[in-house]
Amino acid sequence: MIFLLAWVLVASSMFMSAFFYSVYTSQKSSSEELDDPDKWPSVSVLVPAYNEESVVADSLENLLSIDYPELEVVFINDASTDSTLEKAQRFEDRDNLSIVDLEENRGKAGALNKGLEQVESDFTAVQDADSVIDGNTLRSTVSRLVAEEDTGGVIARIRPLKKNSFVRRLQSVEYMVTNFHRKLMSKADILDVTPGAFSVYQTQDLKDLDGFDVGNLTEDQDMAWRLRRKGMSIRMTYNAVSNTELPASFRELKGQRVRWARGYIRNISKHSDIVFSSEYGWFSRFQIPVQFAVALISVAGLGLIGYGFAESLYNFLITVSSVGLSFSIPEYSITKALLSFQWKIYTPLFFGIGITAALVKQAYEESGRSLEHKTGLLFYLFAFFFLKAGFWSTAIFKELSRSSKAWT
Amino acid sequence: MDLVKSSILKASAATLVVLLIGLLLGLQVDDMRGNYIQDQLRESDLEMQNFLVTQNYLDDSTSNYCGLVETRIPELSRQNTEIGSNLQSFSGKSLSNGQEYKFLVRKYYVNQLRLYNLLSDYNERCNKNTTLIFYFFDDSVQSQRQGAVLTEYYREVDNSSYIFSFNLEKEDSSVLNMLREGYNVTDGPAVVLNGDRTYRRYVPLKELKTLTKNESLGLNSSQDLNLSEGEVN
Repeated sequence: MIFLLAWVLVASSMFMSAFFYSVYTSQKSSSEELDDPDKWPSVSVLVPAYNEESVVADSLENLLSIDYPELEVVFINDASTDSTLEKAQRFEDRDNLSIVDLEENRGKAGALNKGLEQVESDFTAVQDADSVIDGNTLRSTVSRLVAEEDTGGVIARIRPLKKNSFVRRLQSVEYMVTNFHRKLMSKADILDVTPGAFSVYQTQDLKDLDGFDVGNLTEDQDMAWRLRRKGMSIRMTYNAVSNTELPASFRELKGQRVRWARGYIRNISKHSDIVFSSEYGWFSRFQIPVQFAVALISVAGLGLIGYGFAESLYNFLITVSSVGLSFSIPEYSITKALLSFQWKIYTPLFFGIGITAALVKQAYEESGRSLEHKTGLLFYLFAFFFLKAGFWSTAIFKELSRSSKAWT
Repeated sequence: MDLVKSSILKASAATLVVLLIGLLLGLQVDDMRGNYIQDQLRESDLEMQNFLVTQNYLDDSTSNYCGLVETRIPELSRQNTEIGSNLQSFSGKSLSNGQEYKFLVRKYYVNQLRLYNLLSDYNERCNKNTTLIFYFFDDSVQSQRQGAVLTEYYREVDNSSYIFSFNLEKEDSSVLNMLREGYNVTDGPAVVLNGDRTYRRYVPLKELKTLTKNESLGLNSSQDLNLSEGEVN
């Protein structure tokens, strides 16, 4: 049973690595360079904020200095209890800034919807208050949205604003790989998220969908899925960059990732009618079920490794309880070690790791970065899986206990 | 063909090929495991035959016999221990599912008994106090604990004791069945000291040391080799 589970795990990992590698090798000749549109459409950037006093000034300064013909910034203060509003009001003299001050906290989706009510521009961008975009980001994403009629949302690459802690450097590596994966998913037209750090939509699409889903834990993902349900694509423009503030500690990271995982589970439940449906192409037939399966497999993998660890610990404790602490160096033999290997498991595992390593190398090259944050990279390659699986396990547990509470 | 479809097909094909390679490699290594243990058993057989032939050649004088055994026993014992350890370490692999594994275990048990007889003979003829321990185990926690105790005991006493272990759970052989019946052992752990004191329970390290010490001093030990009991639990 354990062998079978381990075999399924490594086979799935091998398949996913091979899938992305295949997409990567098929997309080498593609280019993101698009001609500027004849006329740049008007754009409103919605910036919702709740207690973001430390970052809001930089974010607004950055947005208001962007060179774009018709740009409006709509800042929504979601009843912050700190000085976020005062800091934003310092920019009130700028012509293209409007501030919406909510008396009651509505949550991110509610705040975005309030801002959306006053938008009349052709396109609407959403940007978190703790993010800062590069100079070309708005134009490159907008030009893509103009050029591709069936595209409902265009996203940017996410980079960390600060790398002043180990957890942030670790995420820096993670985002680099995630960005590369998203680029491949965009090429394969299975991209399933429009991150809050920076995404651009056609305003009419957002209004047709009655804005963002209030109360949804991951309203950005839900929006992407609803756009998909409208038959629209989500694309990534790799040279567009949004620099965002990332969780600085493991505790913050856990809070964020468990929320994302719970949001994913709830979105799966909300959109369960399209899972495996061929109506929305590979997005519903492949991307949603496979992404969810990958998460479940990672949890099963964690369970398997936990089981192995618990068994070793149990054996160790039995030995200690029987004869006390006793150490002896076992005889080492390469032949015996090779013969003891479960090659049916290790062969796909080694191949999978090899392909993943090739993809990570490519991710480094595409992002134009040298091999930096080596500790973060090693942690990402060998330990981040456990962390993510742990977050997913927590999320599943919380969602299950929430459901059982709701039923009783 | 669209990109996703072609990538799914390519990834599926690559995964299948790699799984197949793993499967073939696994089967190949399984053969190698069997051959590896077969070679060790053959070597052990040769060593034993070499010993017996040399013994016959040198005549039956006690001094020749004792000297010969003392020089050969450590190697024979080392070989046997290694075979046992390899059988145990490979038992979780697919080799354990095959008939070949069972055959190798049966062969190994014959070797164990042959070595045991040799050492018994040596004790008697050379007036030695080497403790010979039969250890029967199963998958129980107590067996696991007894295994740890015997490993530690063997490490501490070095060459003054020899342990012959038998797995009650998985394996079936005429040697094992004979011993099980002879010592009335049904479950693990069970320890038999010098063929005449049977303990059908977990024996802690301290107690084992005392018991083996008494054995070597000739205390509490019955000379009735058949079905005698040290303790009934």
